[in-house]
Amino acid sequence: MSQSTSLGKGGVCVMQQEDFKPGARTQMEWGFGGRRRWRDGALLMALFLGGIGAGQFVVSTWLIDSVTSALVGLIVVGVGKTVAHLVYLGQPTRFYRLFLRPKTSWISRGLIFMVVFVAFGAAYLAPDIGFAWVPWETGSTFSDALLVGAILSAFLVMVYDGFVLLTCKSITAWNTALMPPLFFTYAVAGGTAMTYLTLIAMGSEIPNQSTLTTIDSVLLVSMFALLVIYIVNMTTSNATARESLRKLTTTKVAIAFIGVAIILGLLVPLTLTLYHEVAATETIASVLLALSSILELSGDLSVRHSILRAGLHTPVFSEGL
Amino acid sequence: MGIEGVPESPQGYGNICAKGLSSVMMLYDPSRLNYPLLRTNPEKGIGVDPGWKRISWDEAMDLLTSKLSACLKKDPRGLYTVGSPTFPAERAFNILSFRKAFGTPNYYTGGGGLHCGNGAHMIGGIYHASWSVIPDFKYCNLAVYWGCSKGHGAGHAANVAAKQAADAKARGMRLIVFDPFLSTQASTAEEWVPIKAGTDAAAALSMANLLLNEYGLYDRDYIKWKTNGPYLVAPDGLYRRDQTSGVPLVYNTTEKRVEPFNSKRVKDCALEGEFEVDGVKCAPSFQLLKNHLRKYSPEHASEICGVSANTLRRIAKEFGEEAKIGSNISIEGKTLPYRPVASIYFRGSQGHYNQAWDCMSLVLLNHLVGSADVPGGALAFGPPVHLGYPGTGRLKYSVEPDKDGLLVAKNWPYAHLPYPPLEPKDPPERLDLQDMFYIPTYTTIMGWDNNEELWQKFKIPYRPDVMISFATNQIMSVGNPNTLLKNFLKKFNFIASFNIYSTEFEESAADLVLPDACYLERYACATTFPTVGVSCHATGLGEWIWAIRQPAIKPMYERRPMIDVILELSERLGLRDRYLEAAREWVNRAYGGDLDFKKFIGPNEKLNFEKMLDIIMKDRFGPDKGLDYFKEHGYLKWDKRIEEVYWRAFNDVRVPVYLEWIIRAGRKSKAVAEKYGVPDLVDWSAHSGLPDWRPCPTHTEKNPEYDLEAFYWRSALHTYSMTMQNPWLSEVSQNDPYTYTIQLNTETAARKGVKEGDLVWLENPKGSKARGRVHVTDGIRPDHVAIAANAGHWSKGLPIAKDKGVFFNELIEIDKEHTCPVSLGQDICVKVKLYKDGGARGG
Amino acid sequence: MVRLGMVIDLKRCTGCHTCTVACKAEHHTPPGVFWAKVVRVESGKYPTVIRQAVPLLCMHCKEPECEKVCPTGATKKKDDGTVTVDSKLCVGCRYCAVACPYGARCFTPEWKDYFTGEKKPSSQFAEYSKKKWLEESDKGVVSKCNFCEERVKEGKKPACVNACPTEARTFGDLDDPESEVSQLIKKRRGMQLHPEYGTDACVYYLPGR
Repeated sequence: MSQSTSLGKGGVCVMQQEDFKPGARTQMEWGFGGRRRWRDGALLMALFLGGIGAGQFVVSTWLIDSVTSALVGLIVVGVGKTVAHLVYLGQPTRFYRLFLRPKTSWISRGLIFMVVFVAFGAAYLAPDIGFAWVPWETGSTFSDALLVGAILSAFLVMVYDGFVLLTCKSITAWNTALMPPLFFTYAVAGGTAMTYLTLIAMGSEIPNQSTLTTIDSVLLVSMFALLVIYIVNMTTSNATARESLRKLTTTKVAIAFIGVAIILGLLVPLTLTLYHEVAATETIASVLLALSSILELSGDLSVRHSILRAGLHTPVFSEGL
Repeated sequence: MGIEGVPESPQGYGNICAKGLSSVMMLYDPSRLNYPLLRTNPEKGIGVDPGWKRISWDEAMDLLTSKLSACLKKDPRGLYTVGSPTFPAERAFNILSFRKAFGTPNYYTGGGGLHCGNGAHMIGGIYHASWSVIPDFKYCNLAVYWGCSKGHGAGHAANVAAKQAADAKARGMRLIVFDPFLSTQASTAEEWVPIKAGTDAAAALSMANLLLNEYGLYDRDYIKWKTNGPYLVAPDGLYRRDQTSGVPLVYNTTEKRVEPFNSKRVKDCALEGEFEVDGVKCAPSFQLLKNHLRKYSPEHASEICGVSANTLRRIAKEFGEEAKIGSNISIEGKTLPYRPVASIYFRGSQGHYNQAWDCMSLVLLNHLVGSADVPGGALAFGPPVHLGYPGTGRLKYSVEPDKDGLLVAKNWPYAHLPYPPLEPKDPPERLDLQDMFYIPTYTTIMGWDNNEELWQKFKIPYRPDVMISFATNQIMSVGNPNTLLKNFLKKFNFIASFNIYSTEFEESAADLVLPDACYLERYACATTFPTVGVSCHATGLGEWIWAIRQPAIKPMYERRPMIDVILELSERLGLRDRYLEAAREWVNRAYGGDLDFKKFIGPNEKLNFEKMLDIIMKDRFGPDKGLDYFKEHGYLKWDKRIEEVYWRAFNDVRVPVYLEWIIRAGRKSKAVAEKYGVPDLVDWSAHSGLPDWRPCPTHTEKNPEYDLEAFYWRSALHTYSMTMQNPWLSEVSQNDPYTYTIQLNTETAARKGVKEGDLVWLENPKGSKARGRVHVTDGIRPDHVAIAANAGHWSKGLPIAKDKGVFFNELIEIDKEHTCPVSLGQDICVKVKLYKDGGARGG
Repeated sequence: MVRLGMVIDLKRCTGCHTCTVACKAEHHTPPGVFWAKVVRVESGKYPTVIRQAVPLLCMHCKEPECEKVCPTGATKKKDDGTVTVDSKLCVGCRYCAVACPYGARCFTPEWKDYFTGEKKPSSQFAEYSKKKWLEESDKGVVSKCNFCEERVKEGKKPACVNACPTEARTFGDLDDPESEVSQLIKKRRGMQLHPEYGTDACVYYLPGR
């Protein structure tokens, strides 16, 4: 048997770019595994942090009252999301240009919401975090108005990324009305989880435990239901959607989608929520709650990651032409 | 800074393909050779590091001169000149003239892989006085393609043929493509007929059988007056000749007597029947052909070629009917036969054991329905006839009949005409024994395992000494590189190579490397191929062109155009006069005329290529059209005349439907072989008068493990083995699904458990292997695999090309079993087994 | 009002990639960036198979998705119909790239030399190439076919149209019913890709069979 002349190296190197593929093409712009393998992941982090941070602020001011937790949420958005966006941008020094087209662009809208939210949120929290010189007090009508503004703009921050994805007409896995409610629900749940973690870290009591537990369970079940509807919807959509589903459930992405997002991020926390009722001691309860929160947040990140990875464009050229 | 076409130039009318557009990257490639290099590692072999040392041009010239002087003294025949076909005009001056001056008969064209100048081209020469045939796109209604891609991005006059083919299809020309896979031309054709590689002749002969024996669709007039169909053949297989004049006889049907074919009394002659000539029963050769073809029933052909008998019947009928035999058309006031069908063959159908007869069978269809070189039919590329450049009347030549009335080409890019056959040399003088044969331009014999034994038997008194390679990459372009290296290249004492990169050839085998100027850095005349006197482009009526290449910039670093080096070498070796004589002979034979360089170049004047070009062009086109004119305008064009395009109607020449002369010539060559004790040098039974299909070793492989037939096809993105180094072309090739992969049928892939992108090995029965990635497709026969381009490079001097694509030629064996017994060209299809590459991760 | 558009005849196209390379040569696009490309589409089962070469480029849509989603206003549809990206205004958020149904938009993380893969040009030509590229685009921003604005200004045709050996591409004013492009669309029933997205593409395809 003769040795291959080409020193055993022949014919190895063949790489076809996504945009030359005739069938469904993976989007290569957003999320880990994009064109710039790691740096493109910053965009995923930006959306994730925006959702959970805004969610945390809402939960920490509306459902419970914790200035620290609300502040953490505000910083997660104001610093975390902002930095993540700047890391992602190709030309970060021009970031201010992102706000210029709110009339047509959901990115402009979303980032304006973010700035508005941070402004309102900071103004609302200012009296309680050492800025006593501001001419309003917590509890006053003006302060309440600030809070309303903050919460409303927080809602918009929690939902806008769903709309960003929804507007991508050729990515069937994103082009569904389920995106905004899915991301919104995850943001609320993520905010709740963040709140728990912050309070546990501070060693504080978590008020309204049973109400919150009920809300958590409802959220987890809703998220699960939304994902199920999402998956079923894809099976009856077009070939590209089915290809996306195949990607979500049978390739490496399935580890994130099924493993982390569904099992670890939803089913386990759901179970933990129930066990939390019968936890023996406070410490164990806290630990379980913390664990549940961390898993839920991992699930949140994984769901967003999976959806970004499973975003396939329909083939540019359809047969039959 | 860029490259753009000249819209008025007939050479493409402004279009330049991807290869041309990207050539600026070749100019500025950091891997380009810039200085002469000397091998310091005496070991030669695949993957061996040559240990290049940079030397000066003085040192290089001194070394080369001393090696050549020694060779000249010892025996000049020890010099082998090898060239690439990518620069045919320069080839004339480098390989052919220099070697003639030096006194060696040994040369071949490496880039074409011993394949260029044999089957397809010689048959084209015999039947059309042309390197190749192409449909008359303007008028053709049905073109049948056999393993060729005319007008689809690859090959001669690619761009203008592409436009013509597109226009033809828009007009309604139908294309039927016989091809084992869904090639570009098959993709855009009306019908793709998936045929087994190397079996085209069986299909074509069954079609010929149907036309002659079942449908009666053949052009009797054409066969009577333009072929040797009526020539009477005696039982010994040879023409029955006239006692007085010695010319072949025909049966004059009006006067009912046997006469010389060229007698003025012959107004009509017999194509069939049996006639007595001096007691000997003779038959017209057409009758013999007709009888002979009967064994090629569609059913029998179907078994061989894998195309259904019904399909063969249908296509034959369509071909015969669409030929509109007997019809005429008026063009430019001349009434000409109108036969709007063409049977076109080229490299794919040629690359097989039986190539001479394969190509003959395919071209024969044109000559049975009379569609050769008439409106709508298969046109010569050549051109075979040129009435002279208006104004000077130079470059005038035409086809002529020999004494047997058969076509003799006057305009041929090699020294040796396809017809009439030369007398075999006894004993042969060339190391490839080409001169004891009559069809081939070169053979594979010098690479066979038993070449030394043959050289001894044929009493060759010298051995390989020095080789000069002009831009060839023989390690990749001939066949299995280990075989070529072991049997041939390693026998040379000294190998000098002109190239623009350090390729696998230089690294494995060269002693001295000389940095050539690429085509953007040097002069050449008549840039295109085939460049035989007048370069033709658009087939059919239009414009002739004579263009030059000129340097876009001066050669960078220490690059030197090879022709300048050769001219200097000629002077250094004292061969100046002989060189000028050889160049004169070549120029006049190829371009016609009586030009004598010595009239314009003083006896002590240093030889200069630009001056030689100037002399040639002034001689051809007038005193105001020397090099300066061409430097400014780039080209010269003039209208084609109808007698040049549809020349067959204007010339009284015949072509053989019965190759009587092959029988005679074959006997002579066989006699030489027997005389020197090698009676079975080739299968002499193939030197017969009638076409047969003969199987390649691929078709008779008994071991069922080797269940796939592998073949190679030409990608429009690449030229030979050179362009994979171009990063633009490399990038596009990697993004194209076919260029760098092994195409494998979907069902076959599933059966073998192979998926898209898997790395697999192809192994031939001798154990040679090639590796590549699979592209799973339905566009290929389940029993075949297809590989494109001469890729799969490994040399360090080609970093962009390295490790990309599949090195198919590893699988090609260089031996008697894979050499056509008549044309000595290569069989390049191979039976392989396919298996996955264990343990290699996806790329 | 002029509305520039293109017609691509799939019957004439042989997939030779001359347009791919002509565009690259004209605009000096770096590795990985293809404003024009040819995709090979296959359908059917052996032996009834169709292989079609499909040249792709920016469709210069009448209702461009990219212009809608662009947050910075860098993407604009000009008066003559050409959709352009101003590389000085783009931030590289790549929303347009995910929104475009035709894969027309290319992002350049970094200019790289074709031979060495490095930021430093390997020759005079590479330097020139980089310079030309930076005149039209930049690193960290999105770029795409601009119907060869500079050539069209001089009355020439886009590079891909000019280069195509089979003359499969025609360029002209879609709003002029007598223009060659309009006539081809009418006579040969030219079709847009993905009309269901409401983009009203200005590149039409003539059927391959």
